Amino acid sequence: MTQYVVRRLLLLVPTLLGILFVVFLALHLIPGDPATALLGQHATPQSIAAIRERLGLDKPLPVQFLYYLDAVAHLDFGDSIVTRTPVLVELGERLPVTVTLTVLSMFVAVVAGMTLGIAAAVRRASLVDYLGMSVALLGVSMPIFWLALLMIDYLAVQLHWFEPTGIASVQYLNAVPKVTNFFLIDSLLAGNTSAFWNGLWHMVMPSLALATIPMALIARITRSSMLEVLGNDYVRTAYAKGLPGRIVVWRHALKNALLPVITVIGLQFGSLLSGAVITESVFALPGLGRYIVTAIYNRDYPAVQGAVIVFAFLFVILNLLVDLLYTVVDPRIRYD
Amino acid sequence: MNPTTTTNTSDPTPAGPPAAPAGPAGAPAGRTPAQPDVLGGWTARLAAWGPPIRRLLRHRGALAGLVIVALFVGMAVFAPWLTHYDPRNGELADRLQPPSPAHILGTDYSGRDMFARLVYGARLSLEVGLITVGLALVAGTLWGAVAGYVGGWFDLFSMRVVDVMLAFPSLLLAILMIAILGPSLMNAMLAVGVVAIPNYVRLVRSVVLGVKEAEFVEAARAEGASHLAVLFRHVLPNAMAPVLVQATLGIATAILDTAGLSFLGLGADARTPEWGSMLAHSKEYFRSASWTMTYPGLAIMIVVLGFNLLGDGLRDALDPKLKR
Repeated sequence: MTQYVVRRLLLLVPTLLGILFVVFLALHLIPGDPATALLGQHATPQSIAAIRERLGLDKPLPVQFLYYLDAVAHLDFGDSIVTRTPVLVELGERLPVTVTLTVLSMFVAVVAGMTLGIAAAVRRASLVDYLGMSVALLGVSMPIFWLALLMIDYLAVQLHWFEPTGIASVQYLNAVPKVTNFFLIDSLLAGNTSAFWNGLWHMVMPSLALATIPMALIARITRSSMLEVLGNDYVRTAYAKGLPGRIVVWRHALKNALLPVITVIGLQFGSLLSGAVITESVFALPGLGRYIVTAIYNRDYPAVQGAVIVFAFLFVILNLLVDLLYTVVDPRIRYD
Repeated sequence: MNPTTTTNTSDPTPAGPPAAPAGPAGAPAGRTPAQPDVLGGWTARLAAWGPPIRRLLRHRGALAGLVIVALFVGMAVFAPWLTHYDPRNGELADRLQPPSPAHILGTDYSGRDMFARLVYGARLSLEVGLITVGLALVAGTLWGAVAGYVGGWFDLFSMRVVDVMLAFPSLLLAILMIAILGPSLMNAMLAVGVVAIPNYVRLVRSVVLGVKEAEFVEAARAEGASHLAVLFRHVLPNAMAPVLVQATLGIATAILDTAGLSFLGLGADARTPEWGSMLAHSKEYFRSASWTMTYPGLAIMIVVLGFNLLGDGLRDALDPKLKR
């Protein structure tokens, strides 16, 4: 197992290098000279030459890539062209919002999706099944930006059940000292439970909206996987020896139906992180996704590249965790 | 020729290297050794599509999807006959009118007829779906086929490139491309198309790896057929069924993603009757004019649903063994 983990970590290296290379190349394909972009139109040729030398732009491309790798290894993504603060600092403030949103959405998607899928499989061809699978089908086809707008207008603006935007109300945002930059964790650390609930309440609608598509896919795969397992002899035996249905479903069938479900859950991180870009924009959450979109509008390329790298690394690490989870769920899988 | 054998049998015929996993639709396809090629094999090939088509037409979901897609395509094609309003320009005096006999779905914030914009939006979405998927399909199929067939360092290199592309969340890679190219609908389509390429590369490569060592391929080579002929006439047709499924589902994703990019302001501009951009620009008017936001969203959802239903149905019809 340790050997496998080490090997997987080593295999990450070429992928991460590839990501950095793509982002590096992308930056060089952008029309215009970075030195001019940094100094503005009225810079003298001397100062442009000076900054080109300082940034290493006068060196050949492979050398520049090495410089670039060195900078990234030191977590130096440069300064934002707009705010003049180091991109790393800005990313540090925004990453926790995206992670919180993604984790909460995944939680909602897994719980709701699996419940729906199991219920549909156990009561096959019943009203629950048809209704559940119709919901799942609609969910897969849902434009989440539209769903998010509808939620804001009905649930927040008209019914006042939720707060329409932001990660917490202003009075709580300022009351909680920043320690980890995770608002929910920081509020607990400060012992401010009302701030915690306020923050969680703000995340309900974004998490639900973002969870829609993964939930629907998880529900569909859980149903089909469960149906396959429920038809097995050992399940019939379990029923025949008088075990209550609840135990057969949860203890016997689900365990074996879980593997394809985990595969699909793992695949959903990509769609969750993609969806986070849209969800954060609609709900005005100060996360990585909204940061990227704003940075593109502002042509703030250091910010774009830093955020893209962090996003991609996050995705790669999440995928690794899912792979490792397989070994825990299915001891039959051995990686040596 | 036995008509059932030409569809996807999940028998991998693994004489060559093991096939890579190829996504949900990617059962490696195998074809039984070819019969004497009387009419270039085309009649047999066409006849082989009979049973899957019959299965498709018996599939309730697929039928519903087919109806939705047909209506959508009809709307797109006959847009100028369905409305006489200009989808790009409106009368400011008519802004935010509720649905009425003159404007059956009302007007938007600059007085443009909502129905006209929806109908022309269908045209745009159809273009988006066809162009993005067409790009991904052609590029991905060729790339995957050559990588699988040639093997060696080219295959190795290709797979690393694909791995890196897949190491980005898809919408993010598209956004990175738009950051370089600049926001526009054309660039959004290009980005969504390029991002989808790896799916086809993997799918087609796995099919090619599965059949390239099969006897009928060897037979064709022995008869003196060139590599190109073998690849296109004997190997690639095996990838048709899974690629068709992938492409149908891909249209749904492409429409959804492009609308999402337009919604973020990274695709179509405000004048273009693009459904995602219509939503983005009408969100302030929801309280006073809910119709401006309801219909574009519904349109996206229904069309995406249609392609999803059709894609699922195609998968079941083409690959009975995968039926869920």
